[in-house]
Amino acid sequence: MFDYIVNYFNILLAYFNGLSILPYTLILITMIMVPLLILVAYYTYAERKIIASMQGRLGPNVVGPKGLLQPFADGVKLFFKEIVIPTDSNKFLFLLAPIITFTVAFAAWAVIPFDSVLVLSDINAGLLYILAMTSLGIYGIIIAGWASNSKYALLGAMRSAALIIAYEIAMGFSLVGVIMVSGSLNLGDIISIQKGSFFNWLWVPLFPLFIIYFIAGVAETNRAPFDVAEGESELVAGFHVEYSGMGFAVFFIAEYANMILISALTAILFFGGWLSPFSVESLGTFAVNDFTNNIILFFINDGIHWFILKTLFFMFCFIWFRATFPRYRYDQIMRLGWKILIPLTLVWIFVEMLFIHYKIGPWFN
Amino acid sequence: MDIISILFYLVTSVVIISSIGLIIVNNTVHAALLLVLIFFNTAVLWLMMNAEFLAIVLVLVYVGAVLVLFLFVIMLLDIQVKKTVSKKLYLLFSVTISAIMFAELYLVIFYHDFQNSTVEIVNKNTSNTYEIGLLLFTEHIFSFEVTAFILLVAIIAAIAINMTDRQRALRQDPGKQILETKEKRLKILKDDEL
Repeated sequence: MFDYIVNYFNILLAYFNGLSILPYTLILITMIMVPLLILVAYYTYAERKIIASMQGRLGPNVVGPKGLLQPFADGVKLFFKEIVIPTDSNKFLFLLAPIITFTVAFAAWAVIPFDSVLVLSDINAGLLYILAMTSLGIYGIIIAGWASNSKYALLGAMRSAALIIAYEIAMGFSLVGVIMVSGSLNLGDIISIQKGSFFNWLWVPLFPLFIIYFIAGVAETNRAPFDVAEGESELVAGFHVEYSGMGFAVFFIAEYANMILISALTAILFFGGWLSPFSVESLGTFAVNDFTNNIILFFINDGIHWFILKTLFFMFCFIWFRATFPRYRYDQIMRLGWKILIPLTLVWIFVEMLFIHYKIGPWFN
Repeated sequence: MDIISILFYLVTSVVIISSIGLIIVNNTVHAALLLVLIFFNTAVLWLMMNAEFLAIVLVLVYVGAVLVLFLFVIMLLDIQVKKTVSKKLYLLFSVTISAIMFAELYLVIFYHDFQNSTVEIVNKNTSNTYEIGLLLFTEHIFSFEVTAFILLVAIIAAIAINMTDRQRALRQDPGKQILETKEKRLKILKDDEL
């Protein structure tokens, strides 16, 4: 069943290969962007629904069946709203900031491998590229905060900049741990080194680094409990307080795209990406008829569905955190980042050096 | 003209125009953002020479970290655009310095055989990143370690400068706050103890 789809996709790819490189790449980009934007739209809906059910409310339930058309209603509303540009703001930078944030949030998806073949650009320094792109996202925030000519926006931007600089170091160090295992910066190689079953994935030897990576990821995307940059009780809405209509919507979409990116990266780096948690050889054969057997085998085997499932789980975690934890105080965030997470990553890198020296486990042979 | 040379001329012209802009704009925030543009386009130039590691690290370190700190500081300043006062002495100095720099660049570029250097640095079979790592940890290990040591000293110095006012500042220590327990702060008194 799925083989036909992959086959069809490959034929399509072969056809596109005949075209010149630019339109071909543009079509591939659209094939990533459009599902991603739809996912972002429904992520906002899922967030409202999940938090509502955690707090004993109903959530959006008016537009469409069970409120399923709510994200589109929101989108249409934001699209037709007036864009207000504050007086004495820097008009060019004010309009540039959402564009930078949006571009950078989606540029990182160029190197994400969805499957063993489905990757837009299989470059050697993929992990570094992702780090570089995520570190650029801060420009949108800083420029937005400064160009708005508003004290709340500037304060939010300052907080956000300090937060991202602090947590990016911890994030980079935990990625160093991943690179030490894989010996490669290519995301496809990092996944293929985790082949086997659930316990061959990198979360086992790198458990502290996985936790630190995810915490730093939550902080980098300015999400609760690290959402001091927007802290609505202190700064109204932080760096995007002066934005209305589409400007606000673009910031919103970029934030959710970044959350999905961090979830996808956690799935790739520590949970084996498209790999299946079962090793198919150990399961033996099924005593059922051929068709059912094939379907079961397809779901058990490696494939894009495992990647999507894992990503969805971490996306759920983001929402779960928001409903569970109260917001950190600003100085406590700094303490956690600089004094706890960074030393921990350094210690674990030393432990990993010992692992490598004594050739422990299936990872360091 | 193929697409690579079109891209090359596009990127280099952006670099040159934004470098000129960097010098002549009055607003410091604009100047810092132009510097971002220069670094980014330089990274693209390096990428076109297959130096993928260097290009991405340039973006990661300079654009992603150093210039963010620049912007961080500049944005806290009160920017007032003033008419520049032209002084003859300044003009003399600037002309002398730029003349010296131009002469040096001219000597380097036109008397150094850039075109004829045929040294093959990167092995085609392994990746750029791998080769750089190998060179750093074998041939250039001494300079690598010295650089690391200098950076360590710089970090310690920066922290030491910040530590001096610690005693006088009225500030909470979040570490102590977190270690506080209910037992230390609260005591339930029985009726007869009152």
